Amino acid sequence: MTRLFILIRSLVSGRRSAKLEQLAAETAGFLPNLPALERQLLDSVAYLEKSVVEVCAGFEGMATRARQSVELASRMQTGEGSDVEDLIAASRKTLDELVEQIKRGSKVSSLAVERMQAVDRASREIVHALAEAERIAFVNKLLALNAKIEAVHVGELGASFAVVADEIAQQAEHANAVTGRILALMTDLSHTAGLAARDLDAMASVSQETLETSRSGVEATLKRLTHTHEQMQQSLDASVSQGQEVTQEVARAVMALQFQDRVNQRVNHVVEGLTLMRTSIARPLEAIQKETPWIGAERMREVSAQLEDTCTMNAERDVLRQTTPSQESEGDDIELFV
Amino acid sequence: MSKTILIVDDSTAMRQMVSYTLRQAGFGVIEGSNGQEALQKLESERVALIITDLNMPVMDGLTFIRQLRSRAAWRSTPVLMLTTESQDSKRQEGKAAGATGWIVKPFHPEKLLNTISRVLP
Repeated sequence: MTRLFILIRSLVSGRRSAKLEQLAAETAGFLPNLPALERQLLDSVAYLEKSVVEVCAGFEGMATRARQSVELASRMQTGEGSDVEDLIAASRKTLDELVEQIKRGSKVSSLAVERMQAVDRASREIVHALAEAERIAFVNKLLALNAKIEAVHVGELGASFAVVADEIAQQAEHANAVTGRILALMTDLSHTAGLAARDLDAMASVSQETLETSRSGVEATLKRLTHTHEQMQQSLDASVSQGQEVTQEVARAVMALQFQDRVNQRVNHVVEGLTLMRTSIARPLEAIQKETPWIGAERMREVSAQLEDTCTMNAERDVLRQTTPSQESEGDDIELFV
Repeated sequence: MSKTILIVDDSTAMRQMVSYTLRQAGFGVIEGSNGQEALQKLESERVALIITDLNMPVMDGLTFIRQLRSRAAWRSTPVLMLTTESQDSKRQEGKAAGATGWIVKPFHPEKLLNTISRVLP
């Protein structure tokens, strides 16, 4: 029984030894490659952090622009926006005052027209009176002529009478000349007064209708300006609101991006665990390798080659081989085959 | 009418970013998460161009292109590979399979759009 037991034990030990040797070989093959995998993990989280930093920088730019846009819109609403309203009110007030002035001017013109018309009437009466004076002068001349004729009939006694008659005729002539000049002047005056009255009348009758048309036009323009201003206010309100929404969305994105920190920590913990595992396994493995230095050498090369085969990026290969990363500029590697 | 582009990538985030870039430029977009899904979509959709990743589960990019080119309807459709792979040997494999171009990730949106404009009929 003992011999059987020893035989079985030696058989089992033999198989176990073989299996342990195999385990040692596998461990010796994989263990030296663990640092490369750890480096891959650390390099990946570093790359992740760099990318997140770039994304955050982009968000910062967006948030700054959104904030500036909101501030500008707010300033326009409170500062310049109210200035525009004041301008519109002031324009309307000025328009009303202009209309009033024009109305007053129109009244003054109408009054002036009436006065010119009165002057015209008076000058016509004067012309009438002058015509009468001319007629009187003419009659005087006739009388003077008759008187002269009678003086001649009377003879010497009528000589002084003839002188008087001459004098009367001359005065009548003189009066005639004067009335003639006055008549000419009055005719001119009447003509001028007539022209002035016509001009003033024309001015007064740029009238209510024209005034109202102009006023309506200006009022319509002011209404359009008010409407445009209201629309601008609405756009600014929307802009402020959207700016605030952008800020909110950026805040949400910033929160979401903080996954990177948790990933970073967790990966570092994994790397720590792997390092611990590696150092723990390395001690007994070193002892085995002292006795059998060839163990695992071939397997290590196989595993290295397998790991390199899984790489799809030059950056991965650089980490595995511990070579200097190639300075490829990202986003530039494009090749067309046609 | 805007042209439609098929995006094939197992990464949802990657599809989202390419899709965003293309939509901003006015393209219509349909998506597939691997080569097999993409082939199924193409049975009922007309697209002007295909952008595909290389390393995908179920059916990878090279197999997808080979199968695509075996069908007459898709023989001349431009196909751009969008991949992290930068090795020349892989690039030549893609060219031999029938790819029109090779773009290494990460892509620059403007450069991607320029490349698309160069290959679109």
